[in-house]
Amino acid sequence: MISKENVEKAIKKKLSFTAGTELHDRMLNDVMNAQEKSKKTKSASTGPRIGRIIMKSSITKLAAAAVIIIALMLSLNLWEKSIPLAAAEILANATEAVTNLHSIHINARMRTLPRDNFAYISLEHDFVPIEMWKRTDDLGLVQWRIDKPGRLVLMDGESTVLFIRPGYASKAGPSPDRYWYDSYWCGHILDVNKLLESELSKARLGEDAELFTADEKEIDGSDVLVVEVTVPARVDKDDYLRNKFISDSDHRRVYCFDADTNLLKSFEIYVITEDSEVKIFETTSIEYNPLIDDSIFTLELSNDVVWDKDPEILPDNEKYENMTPREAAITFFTACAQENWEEYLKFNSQSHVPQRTKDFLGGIEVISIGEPFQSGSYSGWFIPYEIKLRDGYVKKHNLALRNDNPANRWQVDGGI
Amino acid sequence: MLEDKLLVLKCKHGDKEAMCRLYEKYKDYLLTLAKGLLGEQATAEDVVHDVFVSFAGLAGQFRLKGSLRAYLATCVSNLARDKIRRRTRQAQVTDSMNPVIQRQDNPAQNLIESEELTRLRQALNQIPYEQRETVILHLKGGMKFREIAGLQGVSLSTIHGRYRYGLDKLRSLMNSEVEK
Repeated sequence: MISKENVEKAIKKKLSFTAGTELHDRMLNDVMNAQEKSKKTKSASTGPRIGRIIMKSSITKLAAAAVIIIALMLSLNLWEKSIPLAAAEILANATEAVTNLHSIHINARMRTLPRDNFAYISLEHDFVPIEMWKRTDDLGLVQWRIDKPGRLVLMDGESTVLFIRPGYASKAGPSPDRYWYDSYWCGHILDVNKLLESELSKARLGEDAELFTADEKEIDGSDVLVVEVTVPARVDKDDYLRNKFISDSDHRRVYCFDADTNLLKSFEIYVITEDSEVKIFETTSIEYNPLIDDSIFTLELSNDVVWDKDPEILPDNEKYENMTPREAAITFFTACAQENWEEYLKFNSQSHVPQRTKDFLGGIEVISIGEPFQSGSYSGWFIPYEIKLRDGYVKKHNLALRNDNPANRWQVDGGI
Repeated sequence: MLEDKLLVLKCKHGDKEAMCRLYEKYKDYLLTLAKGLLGEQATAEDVVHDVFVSFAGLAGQFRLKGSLRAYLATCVSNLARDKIRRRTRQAQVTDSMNPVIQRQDNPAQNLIESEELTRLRQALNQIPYEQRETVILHLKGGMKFREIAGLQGVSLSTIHGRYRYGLDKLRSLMNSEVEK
């Protein structure tokens, strides 16, 4: 008797056919002919603006002439080779259009968590609004602010403050061009000229890993030039960090430029998954050179805010330095279980332990601590854990610990 | 997925090598699907041929939204359904028997194939087309039930039913062949 499972197995494994040589040759030949025909039609109908862009500057003319000669010599199609050229030219024009930028205000939204860091993405979560401002005054003072419901990062010209609502803060700096606290991704967009320059240099290199396309469209009655960049993930398919950060996902960046002013009109990012594409980020408005009120770059914090500090070298520092990531995780959770907040602070260098943390982590029951692992380019370790909170809720997650600090002690970096 | 995306983009800009790679990657997969759906080698080859030629012809304007594999499988399935309908109409005109059951296998080919595979192919040809399509697209095409439901324009529960009934019928057909 054949079972249902055997039928499934037989279809999966035994039912397969391969094309014979004659069929293969015939089909391939017809496919190539069809593609050739389609190319001819497409070349004839290619939009005039891209053509003009390709031929506009003298350098491009020379490059295009060279491409024509080489294409003729190698019997290649000109359109095929001119796409990165068109993308590069659009990007060059767009970079030029933001040369004299002294302020920018961007509204955007991103699939992430409101309180998580600015670089974290999540395909399953809803969009969270993000608002960003940056200005440089006549004396070169740089100020910027990146804000979402759960946290904000502010560079007031002297230092950068991270404020996690309602009451946790950290200070870094003074370097105004460094985007602290994982705000680099939003920072890239605020530095729109650098972002476009970086894409431009990649388009000019024409590297295969990052694929550029150029197109023109009509959106809401105005002409836009679209440059798309498709980028492979930095990490493997089964990596823990896969699709948790933009650069750790296969993704497509879509830049839309106003065809008349060459200014970036919108910017979108799609994460490419096995089944589909998920829009992960989009700008909703971009204002160039707006007047920004001084209050945007000012932050008043209450006295009971918990301040993050750099880990200092302690009298018993060696004990913590010599711990393995797993031992550090066990010690940390044991401190929480025993409500030993002095010990807790060895793993969280803060001014004090806020009451909400005590309420949340105090008296937990440690169910299991797993084997630590590393992922992507993150320099710390992830330690799987399972704990039971005082209210009975069982939390299963990965604790992130890192010790790349002056005291070389393991510090909790996330995953709570 | 990204590899397909890049290949499609290259095809869009006329890259012949990319088209060749896509063809090499999917030709046997599509042929297996078409043969499973139609049961007949020559028609299955025609379907795969037409799907690839049409894809190559439209590559300049093609925009990949989901998985290319699922897209091509859907094209094969649509064309196969057209062929079946046409075959049924022709059969009605010539007053012949059920065209699917009527289709006899090439004996020389049967010798090469294992007995079980022959039985499986014969059984597949005898179950209703919607059930066969569901079973083949899910098991060989790697398509999700949700995707097949969209393709057939029916509810997910109908697809679950078609899959279950299809497998039951296949099992009973194959078992009755064994008993003979």
